[in-house]
Amino acid sequence: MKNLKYLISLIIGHLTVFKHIFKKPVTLEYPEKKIELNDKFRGEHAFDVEKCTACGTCQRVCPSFGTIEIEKEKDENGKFYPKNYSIDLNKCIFCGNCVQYCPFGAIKMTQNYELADEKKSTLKLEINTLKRNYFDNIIDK
Amino acid sequence: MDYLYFLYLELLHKWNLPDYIAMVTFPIIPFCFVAAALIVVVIFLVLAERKILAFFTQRKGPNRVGPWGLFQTIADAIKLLCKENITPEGTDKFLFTLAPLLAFIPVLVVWGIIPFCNEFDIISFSINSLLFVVIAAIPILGILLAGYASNNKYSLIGSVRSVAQAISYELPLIFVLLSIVVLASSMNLKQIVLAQSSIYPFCGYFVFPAFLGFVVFFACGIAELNRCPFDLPEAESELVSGYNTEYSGMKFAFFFLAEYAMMFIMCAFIATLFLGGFLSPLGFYVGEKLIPNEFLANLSVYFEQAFWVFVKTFFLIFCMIWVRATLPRLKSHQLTAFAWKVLLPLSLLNLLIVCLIKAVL
Amino acid sequence: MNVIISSVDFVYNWARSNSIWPLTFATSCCGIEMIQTSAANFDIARFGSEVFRATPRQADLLICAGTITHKMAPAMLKLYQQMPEPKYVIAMGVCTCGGGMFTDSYSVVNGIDKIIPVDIYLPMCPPKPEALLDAIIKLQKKIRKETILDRQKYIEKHVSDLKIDEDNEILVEDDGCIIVQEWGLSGELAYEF
Repeated sequence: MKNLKYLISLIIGHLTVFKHIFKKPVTLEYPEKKIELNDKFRGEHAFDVEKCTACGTCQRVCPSFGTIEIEKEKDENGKFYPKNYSIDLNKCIFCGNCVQYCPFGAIKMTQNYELADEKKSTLKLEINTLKRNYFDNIIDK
Repeated sequence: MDYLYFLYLELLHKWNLPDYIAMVTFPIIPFCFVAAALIVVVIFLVLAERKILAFFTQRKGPNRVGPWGLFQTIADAIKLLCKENITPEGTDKFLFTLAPLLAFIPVLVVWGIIPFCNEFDIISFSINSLLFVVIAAIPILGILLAGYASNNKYSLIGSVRSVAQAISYELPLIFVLLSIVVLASSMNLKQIVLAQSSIYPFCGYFVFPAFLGFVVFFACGIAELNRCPFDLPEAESELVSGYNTEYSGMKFAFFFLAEYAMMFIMCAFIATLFLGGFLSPLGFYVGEKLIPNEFLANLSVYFEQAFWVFVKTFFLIFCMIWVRATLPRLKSHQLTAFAWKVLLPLSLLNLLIVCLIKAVL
Repeated sequence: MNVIISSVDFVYNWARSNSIWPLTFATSCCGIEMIQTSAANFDIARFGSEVFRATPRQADLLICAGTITHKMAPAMLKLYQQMPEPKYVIAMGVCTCGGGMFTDSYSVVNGIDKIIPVDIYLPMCPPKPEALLDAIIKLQKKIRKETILDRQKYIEKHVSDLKIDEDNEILVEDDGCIIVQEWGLSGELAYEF
């Protein structure tokens, strides 16, 4: 009797699997089609130099050590500005703390997640790359 | 076979060639056919398995290489050929090289036994169905040698499991084969196929009197092939990759090839025994009715018969992939218990039923 | 001669780039994303890479999915050395690229490129499944650019100087163990709240 029960459930299982062959595949053809991302998606960084005062808050709240490097300098008016600013993607964990804590909203996150690269050095985002990201992705939107 | 030989002889006579050339060259032709068909079948079988498994899980499967992913397996084959061939330290070098060959070459031989059409069964003698069972067991020896020669504990456990499995499952397999022999009153596969012909289409197939035997044989076939759910010798979660853990590149490709070729042959064998082999399920051959020329009609009938063998075989292969997509792997003791406690009594029961049917009719 | 070499290259690279069989090697959370990549929604099978081999002898690609600790490093090196040529490595996730948030940890290797040569770095923590597919596409592009003439150079580049001794520790020639060299905090503390 018990064996008969097993046999019936075996047949039901096979039929359930067979049903799926007639269904449409759910696969997303990735490089051609992409999922629409949420606005809050945390991707590659963008950086507005004009808003930044090189206060170093982002550096302090960053959970990984040595991700953000700032080299600050005074301009003629006595205001601080970042001469060099870099985010090392090899260490960044994309938590978004720097975006949240920045008092001037200088750092933003874009929706770019295709960051794979052959060289490790290019993954360190220098100030120019970050600026370009800002112009391309934040302002254009 | 005699008829084909006669045709070949006539062809050579047209070109004014002596008879002995025909005698020497004729056996080469079926062999070439077999070797070429084997490669083509395996290449598309692997692709078919990946595609069908993908459809069962609502995926798309390989579709980037060539149209509809048709060249995927060819890419795999070329890559495996070009890969570095590693022979690890501490292996028995001779046996390590011999094992894949021992697993692969019997498969080539077994191909000749299957009757693909009325005239095309290369190895044809009175008890060739028994020869199938005998030769189909040799790859297991190759697997055992692979496990022994690899000097790796996972390989050894995997191969020993494979042998234990083969011994348990060969018994019900042969009992079911016996029931078919009782039904057909012959051990020749061609005679078995011809015994299934009847005046009504597909009513004479042995799957009806020996349905229980069909199910048992199918389960045993899957176990013989070491496929899911009986893939204990290659269980990835316990033994890294079973008997082929230490094999790379070309040698692994041989195991791969042997496994899939054996899968095709096992399905062709089941189709021959139970589903009427090359007989048309329509009851007639299309070419026979349409083509007025007698010679061409005969030829078209042969192709049609081969076509039906392939259709039945691929239906069974589809079922095997279906089973693989559904069932999880059994445990070791469940596997042996299933063979001895369920399949063996069932096969004996099947033999009894078949004998009663044979006695009544 | 050039024609022959380029045509051989074409076939060879076409075959290799279209059947990258990855090794089942998931050390932590990025492994979940790797599993998701091979599942129905993203389906790594489209690129012919769904054949996750359990044994390194049959694999072409080591997707290092997850943090590599000093304890795990010798095992990974051993797996890498067991793979047959030509072999490739994707460093998936920031932990394997450069240490990530464990940069100043006493137990984590800061980037697997200190131990084995890496072909593609894939940052983010963890990367989306699409990002892994993107990394595989970039790896395919890289493979298609190679020629058979550079193969010897490639093999030399990929032979690691590192050796594993009996105590299962990685040795760098005679200088001692790199694991020991990297132990301890990096001096400064990251948090200054």
